[in-house]
Amino acid sequence: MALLKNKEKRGFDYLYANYSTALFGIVNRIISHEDDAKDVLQDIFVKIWNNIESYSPKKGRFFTWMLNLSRNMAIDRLRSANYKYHNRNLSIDETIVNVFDRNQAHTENVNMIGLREIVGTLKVEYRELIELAYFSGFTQVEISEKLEIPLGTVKTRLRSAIKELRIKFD
Amino acid sequence: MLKKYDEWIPDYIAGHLDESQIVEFENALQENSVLQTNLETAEIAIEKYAFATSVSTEGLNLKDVIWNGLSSEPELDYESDSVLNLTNNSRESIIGNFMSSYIGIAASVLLLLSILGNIYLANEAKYQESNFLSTLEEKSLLQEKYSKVSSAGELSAQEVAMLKNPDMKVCKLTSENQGDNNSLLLVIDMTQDMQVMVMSPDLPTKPSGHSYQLWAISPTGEMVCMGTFDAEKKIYTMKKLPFQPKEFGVTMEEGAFGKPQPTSKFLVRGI
Repeated sequence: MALLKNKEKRGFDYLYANYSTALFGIVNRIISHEDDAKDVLQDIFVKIWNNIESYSPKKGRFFTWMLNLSRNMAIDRLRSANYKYHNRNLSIDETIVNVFDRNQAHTENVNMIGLREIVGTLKVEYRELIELAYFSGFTQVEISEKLEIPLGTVKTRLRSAIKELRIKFD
Repeated sequence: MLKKYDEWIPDYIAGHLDESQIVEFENALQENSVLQTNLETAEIAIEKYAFATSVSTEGLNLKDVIWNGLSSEPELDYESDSVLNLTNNSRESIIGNFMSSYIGIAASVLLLLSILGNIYLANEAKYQESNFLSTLEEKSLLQEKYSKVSSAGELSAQEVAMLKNPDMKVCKLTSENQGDNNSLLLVIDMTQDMQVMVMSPDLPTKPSGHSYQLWAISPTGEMVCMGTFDAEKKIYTMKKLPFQPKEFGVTMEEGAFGKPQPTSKFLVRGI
């Protein structure tokens, strides 16, 4: 963090080496066209670099901050480029398949393979909720309306999903 | 209370809480280590999930491009970017961007409408001015004509008073069909009772059991019956209007009292 705040190249190298793939995954969920997704990823790094001072560890993890920033920028690009916002209209299964398919098309980091297998064993309804809540920008109320399930069920399932994820990753 | 804040965790992480909820949540976070642990657990789980679904950037050749851009780019104002501030609701940020683009579009549309409106109003004013000059001419001629007739004792005192009234309006109604020569002059006093003087009617002869019906047409096209008239009579007291009429029209309707809405084409219309 200090390297980033001091604007040192080593800070950027670390950031890119450790987070570019995860952030690109977030962007790819929303922007399917690779050139546009690349542009957004580039903008994301510029924004992180220029605004690192506004991140506060007291309010959450660094990755959460970058995740929100990336998702919001991708959604903004989607709107500004007059996309039809079709990805939000895809079924969540299609979205997950797309993400996984695109991942398969790239050279995978060996460390990621294990994580991917773990996610693959997660219940579909849990994956669906995680994708909607954290990666697609839906509120719990919107998820409840979209999936036509009670808000209480959404909350309970999200908690269970996180719990199951944590157990699986541990 | 922990349950409540636990339920807020997903929306807090995703940036969906509003400002007051964020403050409340962060205050609770300071005081409650269990909540801190639950939040961090959720964040780590999501982080690992994000890495598990990451997409390789190896083939993109972006790293040097980004760095070259960063090393040559001037620093931005940290405080100005609300998108990046976790205390701000990211949802609001999205909506804000969304709204600002819409405000831009709306402003452009309003500007366009304003220009079109001005063109319309300019044309309308030109038309009204020409119409006004024409009716002024008619009014002047009428006053001159009827002062002569009046002196000859052919007009009643009421008719003379109406014609002398500076507030009276003269409307010339003509046929829309080029082949017809139907026409009518209306002298209208809208200041007190709705006094309408029908003058020089040149209308088709109405069959027995029919009447001429006068309509006021609002700027929105609403038509209000002002009453019926017999061409032989000159002054009628008609209904007051709820609007400033855009024009008047006359139809021929069955019955002595007319119809609630026109059932036939206008014989004449105008202002």
